[in-house]
Amino acid sequence: MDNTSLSHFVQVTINGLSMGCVYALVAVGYGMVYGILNMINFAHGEIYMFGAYIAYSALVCKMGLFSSILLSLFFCGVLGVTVERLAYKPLREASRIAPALTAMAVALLIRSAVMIIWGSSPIMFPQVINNKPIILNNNIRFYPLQFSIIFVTIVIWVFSLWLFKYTKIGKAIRAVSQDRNTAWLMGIDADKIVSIVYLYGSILAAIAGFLIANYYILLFPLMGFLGTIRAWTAAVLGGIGKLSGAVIGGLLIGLVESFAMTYISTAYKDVIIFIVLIIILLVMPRGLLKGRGQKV
Amino acid sequence: MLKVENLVVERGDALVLNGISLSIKEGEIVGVLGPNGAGKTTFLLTISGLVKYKKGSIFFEDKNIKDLSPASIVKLGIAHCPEGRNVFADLTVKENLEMGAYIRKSDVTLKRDMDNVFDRFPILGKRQNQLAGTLSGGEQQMLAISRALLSEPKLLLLDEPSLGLAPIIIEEVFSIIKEINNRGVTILLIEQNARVALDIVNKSYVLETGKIVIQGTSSDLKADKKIQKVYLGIKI
Repeated sequence: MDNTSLSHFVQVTINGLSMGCVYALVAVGYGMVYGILNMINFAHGEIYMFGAYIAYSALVCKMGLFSSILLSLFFCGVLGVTVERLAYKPLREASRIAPALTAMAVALLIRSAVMIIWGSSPIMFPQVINNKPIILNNNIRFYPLQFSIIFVTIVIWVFSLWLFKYTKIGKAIRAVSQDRNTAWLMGIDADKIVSIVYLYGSILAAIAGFLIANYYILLFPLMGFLGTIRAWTAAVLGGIGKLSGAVIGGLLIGLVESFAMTYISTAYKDVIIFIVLIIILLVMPRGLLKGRGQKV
Repeated sequence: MLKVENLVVERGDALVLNGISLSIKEGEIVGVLGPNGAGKTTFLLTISGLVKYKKGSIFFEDKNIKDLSPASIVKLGIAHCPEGRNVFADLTVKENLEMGAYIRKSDVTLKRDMDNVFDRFPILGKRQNQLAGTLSGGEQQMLAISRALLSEPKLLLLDEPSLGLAPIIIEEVFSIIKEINNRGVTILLIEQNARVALDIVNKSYVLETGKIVIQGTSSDLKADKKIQKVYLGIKI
């Protein structure tokens, strides 16, 4: 490998890791909401997209960076919890396919609402974070935003690990994920725990949405669906229900996408991610960290 | 302490409980016996609030507990140790116990009570950081009962504590149940194994296909010809 192609390789890796971190954030929330009710929440990525649009509007209305982020977290949190209460809760005892189909409908609903409010064509996200690349030797560019994305992801990862392992609420979340009825019998209000999980997952999605919007400086309604696919693939790849699995899965998907874009074709990157998903499901359905799977 | 009046429970189209009435006084051990599918587990789940009912009423300490959530029923002082033990397999032994104490506020008394559990069952203390799923059946039953007690209940509901255990372990479990009762906890015990249950209960109800067919003290029931034949396997 000569010098140029090596630095090119490093560049592609850095880009892949940054995108991967965003997918990891979505996947962590996705894995949590999957784990707690054992349902595939197709609407999770839409919340991530919705968060990015809210942040866009806040910034366009000249709100500060920090208050725009908070506003976006608030709206996404409310949306996530409301969707669970209105659309999924009545289906707790229904067959597993019913909430999954409902989630698809919810996803369509959110996407359509976004199209009505903001239009269906892509819009430019205002560049508010100073993102002047630091040029290392060999012409490798490292953007401050990439650093922020990686930093935020690590902080959230460590915080989530601590939350699940050591706090009362984290233990209750694990208990409800394993056996909701027995959790009720312990005096745990399982409905409240489910809401907390949806709130937390939606907030992570909003953070991811904000980061990706700043990274690509572009918003489009379909980004939610694409986010769902990546998060789903990442969560399955890492092992569904495993927090660190989702992070590792997200990073790998980011790398796959980045390398596929550079060395194969930009047009086929989504196809390649689908192929990765199919291969994982065929050869190791429980993922890298042996998450839940084949549970009858 | 607990008064159930004319309870009717339907699940789907099936009538599972058809007019159950039962009462428990403070300090008693009351048994509900009966074969598989009689509705015993549904009965306990209904008291705990996990199964809803339309007709009848359940009073706990003169308070109607209909439509309360299962979590608020635990807070009133009813703990439920479910069938098949149902420990949280992927939580450690200690975390399982902490979940049992979920409704408690003070950490000081919890530490003391947790130490008491480990003194009473040293094996649980030794394995406190092990996943509960790795325990043996008997150990899981001890854990499930200890976990239920950590909510400091006035009434303990036990669903088939003998299920799937070796005879020698069953004996141990039942002496523990007696011990808990001696400490002042009222117990409602559901059992298929009438032979062991009748030795510790004050009175029993026999449930068959959703109805109470016989009720009485242990000596009444042991003298009953039908009980002898069907539940105790004595030839007459």
